[in-house]
Amino acid sequence: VDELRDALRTYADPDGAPITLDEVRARRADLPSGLNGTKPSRPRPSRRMRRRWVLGVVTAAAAAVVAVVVVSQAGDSGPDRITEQSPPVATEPEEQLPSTTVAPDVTATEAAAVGEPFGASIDIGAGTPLDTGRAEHQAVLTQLGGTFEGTALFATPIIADLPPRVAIGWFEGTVAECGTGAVALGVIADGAGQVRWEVLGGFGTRALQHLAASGTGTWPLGAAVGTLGGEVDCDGGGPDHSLETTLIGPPPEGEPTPPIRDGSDNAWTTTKLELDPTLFADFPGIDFIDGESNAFGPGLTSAVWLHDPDGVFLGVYLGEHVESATVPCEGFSVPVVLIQHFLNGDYLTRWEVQPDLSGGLVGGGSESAGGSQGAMRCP
Amino acid sequence: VQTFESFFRTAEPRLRRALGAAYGGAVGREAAIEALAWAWEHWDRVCGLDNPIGYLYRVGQSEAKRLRRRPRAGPVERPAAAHAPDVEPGLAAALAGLSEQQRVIVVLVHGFDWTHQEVAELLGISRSSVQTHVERGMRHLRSSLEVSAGG
Repeated sequence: VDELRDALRTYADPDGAPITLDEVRARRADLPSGLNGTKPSRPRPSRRMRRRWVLGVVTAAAAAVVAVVVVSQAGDSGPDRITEQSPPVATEPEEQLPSTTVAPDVTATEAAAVGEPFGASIDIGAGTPLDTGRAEHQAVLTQLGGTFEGTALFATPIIADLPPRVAIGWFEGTVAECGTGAVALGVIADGAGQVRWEVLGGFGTRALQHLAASGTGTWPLGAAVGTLGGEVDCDGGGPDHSLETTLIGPPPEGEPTPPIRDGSDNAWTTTKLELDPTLFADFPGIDFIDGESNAFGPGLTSAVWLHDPDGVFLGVYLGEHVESATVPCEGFSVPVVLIQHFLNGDYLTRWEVQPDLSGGLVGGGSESAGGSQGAMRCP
Repeated sequence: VQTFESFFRTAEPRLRRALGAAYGGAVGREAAIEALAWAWEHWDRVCGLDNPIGYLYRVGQSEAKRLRRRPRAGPVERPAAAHAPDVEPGLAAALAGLSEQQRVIVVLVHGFDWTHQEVAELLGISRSSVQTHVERGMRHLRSSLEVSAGG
């Protein structure tokens, strides 16, 4: 320990010589009272310098006005980036409500078609039942040249019945007692037609206590691409629990419109849960830089949302357990990554990953409900 | 009202060591001097800050980055090797393998006995994050230097 301490001290402060006040003051020796031990003040600029400064400010302001005018005119006539990359948006969303029926069996091809209207492709494998009874699906989402792969465990089948514009829908489902790990996949779009893929889930014990209190729960969420059904292995011991949900379409008449998690508002957040950064210790590709100490249970579903600097959706990474998720940080120039964790459908934590000047992916974080702070970095 | 001189006595060693941890002894020292000079120049403002040392640490970071962009006239200094030949030769490289923040935290906690709270205040992060960085940084160092946790 002593050797380490000495070595570290030598590294950071090889001489151990303190900086003196004189050294510091000498750095401002050009200031009028810089060496007399009093707080220095800079010389008042000359009348000529002040005139130049005012002229510069006026010129800059005029240039800014011209720039704003030019940009606004360009925006009126040129293609908007979001519009360009987003699917055609129906002018009347009501005409595009999702079907209230759910396809019981969907092929991977059909599932892949789900994402196409949005410029993304999603390839959900047909699923290979594991010996534990689970069906494993590979979700691959591709957009803008980036491919993000993740594996999530879904109970079969995944439904796919998605209109070009996803409307707000409600889930109504019956949930049996379940341990951890079951996940649902949902897709929502914001009011501008921008697609937001979302993994919904974390049907851990706590969530099921919430949902299963009455045996049937109505779960407001953005309209879903899928539903869950069939047997679910929640604890690795075989298909011992069932989980069924059904997309029932838009909110019943008279019911409030469920909020959409659009990145700025999270009306569902009811409890501040804090994430334990130590859980990211072995999180490949992610270097947890900052964050409040929190706790969350097993069975969390994680999703990495990828947006470009303008907030245009690029893709999502799906992971069942945050501990085992891999975030493909390398190979794309996405400066903002949002990572969300859902514990029981009403909570999320978000990290925003932003580029630093050296080109890495680092950044401060935010929690949309005003809770924890976090930051991640792709080394 | 605190005088700059009394603040200096507290802040000087902390900034010198923290910036030295981040950027090496020479650059760190230069950055610390510049940060303190900035504080002297702007003392009216600095003395009213909640966390002046944390603020000046960032001033020093900017200065250090500016210094490192300058073309060097002489050979690149390797503090550990240059001044302490008896120090584990791989340490500087191992430390360089850490992220800047991890390096600062490891050095301050294990080299200068800062508490996690002190480091957290300097860097503006939570104590738990400091703990995480310490653990991960030390694990990385052990791995780089091929030593076990026990020793």
